[in-house]
Amino acid sequence: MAREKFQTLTEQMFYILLALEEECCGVDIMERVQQMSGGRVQVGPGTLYTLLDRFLQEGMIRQTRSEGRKRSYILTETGREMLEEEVRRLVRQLEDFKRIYRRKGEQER
Amino acid sequence: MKKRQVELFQFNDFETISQHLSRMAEKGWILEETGSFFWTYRQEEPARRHYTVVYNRDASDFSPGPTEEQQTYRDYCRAAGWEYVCNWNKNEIFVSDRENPVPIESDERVKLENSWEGLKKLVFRNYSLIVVLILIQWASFGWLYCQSPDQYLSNGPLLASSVLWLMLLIYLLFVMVDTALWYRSAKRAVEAGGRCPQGNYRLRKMMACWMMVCSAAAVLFTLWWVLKQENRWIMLPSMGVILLSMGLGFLLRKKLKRTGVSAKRNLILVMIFQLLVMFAAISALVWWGISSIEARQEAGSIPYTVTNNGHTMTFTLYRDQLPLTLEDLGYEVDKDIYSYRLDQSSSPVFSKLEGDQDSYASLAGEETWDLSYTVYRSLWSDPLDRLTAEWQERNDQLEWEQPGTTEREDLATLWGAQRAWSDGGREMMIRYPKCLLLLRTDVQLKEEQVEIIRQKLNLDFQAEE
Repeated sequence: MAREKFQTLTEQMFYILLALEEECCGVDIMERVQQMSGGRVQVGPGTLYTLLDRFLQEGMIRQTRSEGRKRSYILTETGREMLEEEVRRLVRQLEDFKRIYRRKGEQER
Repeated sequence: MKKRQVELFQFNDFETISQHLSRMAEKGWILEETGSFFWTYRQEEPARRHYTVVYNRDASDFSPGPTEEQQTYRDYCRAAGWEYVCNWNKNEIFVSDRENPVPIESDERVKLENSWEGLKKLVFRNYSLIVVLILIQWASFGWLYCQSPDQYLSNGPLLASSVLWLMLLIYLLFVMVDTALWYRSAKRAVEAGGRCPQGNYRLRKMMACWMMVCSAAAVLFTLWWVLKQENRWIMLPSMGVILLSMGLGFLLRKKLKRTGVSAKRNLILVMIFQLLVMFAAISALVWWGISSIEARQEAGSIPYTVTNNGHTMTFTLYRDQLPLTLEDLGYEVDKDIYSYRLDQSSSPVFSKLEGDQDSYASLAGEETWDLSYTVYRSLWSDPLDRLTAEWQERNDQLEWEQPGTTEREDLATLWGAQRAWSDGGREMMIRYPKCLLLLRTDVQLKEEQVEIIRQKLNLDFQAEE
């Protein structure tokens, strides 16, 4: 089900899931993503809220704690599989890129 | 200092609204509250502020306060430097004083999916329902036009509402097509890694302005038409009832919001309340109107009693000013036993004038003459054709008591008309290009009398042309 809905992950989806490798409070995810990406990726609060809701519905993350409105989440096995699948896809892309450019470089030499 | 301004935005004008609010803030006008048409701004020091508009399925004008989910959403936004301002239907407006705030919706794919969720409900579910209702309404107008073109076309408010419904239909179809096209281009742009496009705001605003102008014109025309009517003292309060119901509904909605009633319950209660107010007010008006009409008729009329075969009957004699009477045709009549009744209705495209000069003394065996006529005028010929056909059909069904309708060229020549028909009895139908006369009389009309009728009822063939 989750795989059908999230066939590929956008950069922001990817980093939110990555940030939840360790338990994290919803609001703090924005900062963690920024730190993890060296400030390159910034997740907006609306996007974060929507994605957390969808990830929860799809069982990709689960809620660990709730103090008032402050809720913490962590990645589930399904979420981790999705993340790893995305990494494999990205690696394949990178390998394809390298192979084609290597061949092109050899031909030029 | 505060000011209220008309704002004509569409649900998915997110970027346009944001840019507009930022420009207003730079001029020193800060958004305070939104409404259906009027938005309220308060004056402050001009400042550079960033606004953003986002769809939130939990937002509602009927909600007593933010839900737990909305509060969490606002917490996230606050942490990113965005403060909640107010909601506009299902959209929430946020402001940030930061120089370069992180956009609330930073992922274009998620942003598009969110917007589409709201648009699907508002535009393709709610508007489709309204379109179906308008089509049903138009079907009923069509049926009424075919059945009684005179009643439909001479009723100003009915015509105005027909035009208004048509304009609304065009507007809604425009919004639906525009939204579908916007979604298609937004989807393509996002799939290609781009941003959601803004859409054609100028065209949208132009259409919204056009719709407002049409609505205002329809209301003003209806008001003008009602003021011309004899029964305006009943019709004007009827129009006020709608405004009263809307006003009271608005106040009730605010009161229920303050007392913490849930959005769903608030919506249902306001709708029931508005229906009850309209039902009660219209019932009271109808009761008051009927009794007032009866009282007026009694005041302006005379009771007349006839005895026939031992039965006593009482009729009402009216004293209206008729444009044509038996006296005009040279007959000397006893006015005391005649009723003079006139009924008129008109709109810019059609008019109907009915005159009756009847004597109930004939019921008592006295020899009297009656004169009855209806003049229809129309901008186009179809309603007159329909009325003629309907009259022929009605009379032909009575063939067992009279020979049925026949076209009479001699009558047409006598009346200087295009065509003429007679039912073989006391009724005739005279057709001019844009006018139709239905005449019912016992008297055998002579040429000079026909000339008088044409002049008095303004049936001059040459003038018609």
